[in-house]
Amino acid sequence: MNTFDGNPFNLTKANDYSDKQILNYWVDVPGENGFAGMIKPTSPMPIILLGGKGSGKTHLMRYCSYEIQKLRWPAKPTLDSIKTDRYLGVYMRCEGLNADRFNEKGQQSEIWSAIFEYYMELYLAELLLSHVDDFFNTSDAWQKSQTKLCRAILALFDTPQTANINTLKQVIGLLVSLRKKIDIQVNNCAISRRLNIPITVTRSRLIFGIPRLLSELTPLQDLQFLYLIDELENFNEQQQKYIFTLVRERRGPSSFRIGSRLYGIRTYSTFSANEELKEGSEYEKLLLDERLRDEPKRYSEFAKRLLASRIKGVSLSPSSEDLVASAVKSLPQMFEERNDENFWEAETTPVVSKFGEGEFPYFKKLRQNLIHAARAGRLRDVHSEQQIDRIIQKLKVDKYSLLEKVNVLLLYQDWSQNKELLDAASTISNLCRQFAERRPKSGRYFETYDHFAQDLLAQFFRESNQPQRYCGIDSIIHMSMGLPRHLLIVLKHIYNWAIFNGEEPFKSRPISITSQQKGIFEAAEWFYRDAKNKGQDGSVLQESINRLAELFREVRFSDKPVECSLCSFSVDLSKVNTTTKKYIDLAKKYSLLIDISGGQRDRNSMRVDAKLQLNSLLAPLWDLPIYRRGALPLDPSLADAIFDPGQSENFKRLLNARIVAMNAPFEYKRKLSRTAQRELFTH
Amino acid sequence: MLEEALYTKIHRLNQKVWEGRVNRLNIQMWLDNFDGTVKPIDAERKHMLFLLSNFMYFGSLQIRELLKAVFRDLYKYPIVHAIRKDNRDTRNLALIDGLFSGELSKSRFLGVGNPSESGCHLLYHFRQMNALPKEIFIHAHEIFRPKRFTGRWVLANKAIRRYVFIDDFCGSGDQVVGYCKQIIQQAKKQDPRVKFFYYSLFGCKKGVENVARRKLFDDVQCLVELDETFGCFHGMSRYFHAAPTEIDKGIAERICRKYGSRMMPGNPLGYGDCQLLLSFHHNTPDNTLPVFWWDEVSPDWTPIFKRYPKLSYTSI
Amino acid sequence: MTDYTIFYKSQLSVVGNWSKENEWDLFISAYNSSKRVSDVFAKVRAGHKSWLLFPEYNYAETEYSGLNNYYAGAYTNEADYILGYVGTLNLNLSRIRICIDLTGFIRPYQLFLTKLLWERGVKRFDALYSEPNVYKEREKTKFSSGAGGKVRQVAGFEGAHSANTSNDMLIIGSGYDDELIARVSYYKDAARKIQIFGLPSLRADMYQENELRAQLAEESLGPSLSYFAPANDPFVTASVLSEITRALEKQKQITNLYLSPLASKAQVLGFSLFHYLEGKQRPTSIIYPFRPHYSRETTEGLSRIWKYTVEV
Repeated sequence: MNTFDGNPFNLTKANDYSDKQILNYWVDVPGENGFAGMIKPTSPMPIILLGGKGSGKTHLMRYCSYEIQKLRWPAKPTLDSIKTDRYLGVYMRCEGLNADRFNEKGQQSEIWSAIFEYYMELYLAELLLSHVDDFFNTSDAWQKSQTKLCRAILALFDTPQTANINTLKQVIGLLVSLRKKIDIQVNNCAISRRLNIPITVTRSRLIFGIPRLLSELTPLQDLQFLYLIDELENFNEQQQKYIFTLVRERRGPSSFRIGSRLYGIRTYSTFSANEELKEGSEYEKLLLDERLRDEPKRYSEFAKRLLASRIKGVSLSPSSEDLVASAVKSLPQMFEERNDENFWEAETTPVVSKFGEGEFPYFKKLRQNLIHAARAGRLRDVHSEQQIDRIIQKLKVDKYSLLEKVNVLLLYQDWSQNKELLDAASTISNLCRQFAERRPKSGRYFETYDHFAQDLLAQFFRESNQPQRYCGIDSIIHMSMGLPRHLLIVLKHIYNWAIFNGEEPFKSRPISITSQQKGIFEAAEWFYRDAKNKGQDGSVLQESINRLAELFREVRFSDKPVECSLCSFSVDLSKVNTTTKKYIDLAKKYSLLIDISGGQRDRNSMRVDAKLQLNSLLAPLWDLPIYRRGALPLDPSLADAIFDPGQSENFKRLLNARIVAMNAPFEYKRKLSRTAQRELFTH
Repeated sequence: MLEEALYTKIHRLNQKVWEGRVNRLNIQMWLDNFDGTVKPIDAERKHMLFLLSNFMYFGSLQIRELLKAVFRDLYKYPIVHAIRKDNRDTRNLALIDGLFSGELSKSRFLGVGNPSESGCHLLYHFRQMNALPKEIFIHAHEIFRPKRFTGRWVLANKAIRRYVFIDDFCGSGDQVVGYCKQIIQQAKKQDPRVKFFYYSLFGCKKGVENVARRKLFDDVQCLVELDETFGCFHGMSRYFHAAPTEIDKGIAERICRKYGSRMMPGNPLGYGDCQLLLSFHHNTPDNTLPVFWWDEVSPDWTPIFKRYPKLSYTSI
Repeated sequence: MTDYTIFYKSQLSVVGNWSKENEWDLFISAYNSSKRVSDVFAKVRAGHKSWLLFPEYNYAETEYSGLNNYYAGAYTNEADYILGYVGTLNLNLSRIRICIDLTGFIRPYQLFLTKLLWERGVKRFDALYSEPNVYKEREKTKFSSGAGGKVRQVAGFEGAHSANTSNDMLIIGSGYDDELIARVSYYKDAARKIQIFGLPSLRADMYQENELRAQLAEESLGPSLSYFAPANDPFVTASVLSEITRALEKQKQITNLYLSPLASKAQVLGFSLFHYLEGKQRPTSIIYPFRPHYSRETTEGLSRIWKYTVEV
């Protein structure tokens, strides 16, 4: 039997859920009034929700929609039901308008703009009245004659509507028929090249007029009519301008929540002399995944509850709270973790045993490096292979390969400073012994171990042709970087791999590290591949990210990495070219790069640079760390070579120049130092 | 690493197409069969894993779909085509359906081989998928009946104009020829107007041509044709068209031939030297490389796609 | 109810001449570097034969200026291009025998051309489709590329859609190009997805390869249903579309139906036929993920040539 179908994480997108499922599987973020406190449906201030794909934006907006409000109310709602909510949500997806057809076909753009605005007017009015009509029909809120209301709505039109209309249903019918006439004309225009659509209502008369009338003529007073316009990225610039003009012109008991992908907003300008909407006074911006990333504890708690509810197949309610809470508690045990005791002995020993009597790769490499340098006369005190043997012997540590790696790193550091290596090796050996025995929390050895242990472990795995270890629930949550969908996708793949590997996930034994790694890697590949589907420039972005990651990898796996846990960089954006800025910006918008708020003060000049991290979900593709510590400062030419396709042919050269000082024989640094010394003497 | 990439591909195939038939455990058990007889163990297993990643498997959903297609495209369409041509290209559905029903009632469908064989077993699903009446399905012996008093075997129903043999797989074609030759010759002797058709879901091109060449049937077709490029080690094999550099066709062949010769000495690469990488939900043809399906006592071998799976026939 | 499976289809011989019933007044083919396209063009006997040069294939003028009777309009959309081409013909389309080789066409152009023929009163035309032996890189074959391009309705195939999107459906003819599948799926993210796979496929291994490629778009698709139609049969494809919509509507009324034919050109013809004959029964559009560039040649060999007679 194919048990992949039993995967509790199969549904990863908001749009895969029915309204009922959205409600039933709703998981709120803890504290501060949860998600409601972010979207504030009763606040008149318009909010623009921006988020990466998978941030939960659509989920949140749909949760505020009338369709789901209704599911939260009793089967026969009352006026109080809606008054308790204090708003009525009118949810629409921009893609439903198929807005690209309002284009070309031998017509001018101004005509298309006017037709589109008219169409939107009818579309939103139709949606709003459909919900209101449904509410009146299913509740006892208002049983009176609707004639006066309908007449008032018809009076909003510029052109008198002569049809005999006395009910909301009939008004809706009129709106549908007007819209259909537009559809037929627009659709036939491709072949007929003719368009004859009389505009019967001025912009925003229905959108703002109907809510005002509803609040004046029906019991729906003190209620906000909230237009939830989702997927704004599907509108072109002119169409977005129209929406933002509506936001600016907002009046009466209406407001907006506009949802868009980060990259989706083409303009914030309006038809009021092309002025941009003013953030703070005319709208608020909610960067959803950034908000979740900025509160890692809160996000982690939310993520665990989300996963627990899926694993247990229950919706969150008072009755299931205990079940979910216990699942949250046992989550860490459901995933096999690495054992970090005794300097990761359990991780390194099984690998070491495969080498038998042979020399480990890092010692082999060190030996080769020393031999070459010694033959070239570049080492102060090492001139023979016996001396090299002695050095290596001093660096060896029984049982603890990771400490051997630290020793090698320390030696490389001393070598790059042109120290005498025989002495250096002895010193390192003593420091190592003291560290292993006493485990101090300070000193050179501790600092090096503390900073570089994970990188050295990664080097160890790479040198022994082992896959990198990405595992554990906390790591998985961290890798999702505030995008709940990424979390679900990773778990989905992990589950499938666990089944394939003959495991029983979330039943008896923990999911193996192998299954976690494979699942994480598959999710990472999906995310990287998905970059190409990000409309324009997807392939260029992919290549830029590839170059950036290659740089990080070269540093991480060099003999003497200059930064630890490297997955982020800083750059002075005022010095890079416009194409570079453009692609960095796009990478941020597609969540391939994450903007780490605050920037980084350059140690020398105090200027504030942009600081960006590679999305952790991509890290496994290049064996990179998922937790950031150091950030690599990029000079503008290297940044251009990474992000500007026109400069990419310089990348290899600049990369090599950047990392030459990190690899034996560290000649560049010494040349630099000798040159600097010469310059000192001549000035 | 190549092995992990191959496992990833197999994992994806397993999820989407192979009905979850394999997992890492049973793959490992199958790979354990290869003990380094021909090449170092790692090399042998890597090559076999590569072949596994190119294996073709058709699950129950796909087989049912093909059964629909056999009826619709191979049997029904030519009749409808002829009806339209004979009636001035009519598009009158009522007329076409009526005439077609008449032809259908004068047709009989049969399996190839004895009732326990996989070709016959498919008839049940063929009938189900195409919503056909039971009456038009018969066994081969029901084509004839003994004439009263003389005992001679004569056509049981002279109204029947078409006998349609349905098969799942045509390898060399020898089986179907062997099974049907006498039947057809006898029937045509009695009434040359009676037509015989052979339709197979899958067929090796040379096998189908072999059957056609014998001029027994009035029409021989298969839905999914496997030409020589589907022969794993054929000169034009499609499997090594864009293979990774670590994979060598010659080595893969030697491995399969060596182990296969212990199983089927006369046909180490599958019956008729078809060298296929093919299995179905209900069976694996013996034209597939034996290293994939061999499940007999001797030599001891753990298959990955059994030739006779221990599933009930109703599971399709 | 339309039974599409009664429409005529036949195989034409790859070698040797064709019979007289396979001669036409106007033959239209789309130029690309596939040998099967040029071989068929050479075989066809017609009063007037046209090559269409689509900008997405990026042919330089030096590469095609040696052709006879080509059209290389520089329009930005399928409607303008095809209208431009048809405007150069001095023919009453509804009175002549027309044949189109679908093989090299880029799908939106093929779609619009068929719609235009129907709108211009063409009741019957022939379409050819030639099958390859193999796709060059098998499941790694690259078809389209380039930055830019958007997902939108194909001209002539736009429906009058409902504001109620609660049960929208997107039926995708899933081909090898997973990027196209992903883009169209993301565009109609809220719609429930149904995939039609080519089975029987053109070659035995193509079905499995097709599934492998489509699986790369799995995240964009979400949970989806699978149906099958022969990769080389437009009429069964149209029939399957009809069957799907009827089956789905037995459960719940479809609010908006979107179709996206991303597989073989034969299936694309089936989609356009279904839309033309049944598209008015519910709000139905054909949408397509446009790309700026297409590979000129992704296949090898020529195994079969099909002729479909489209009658409306």
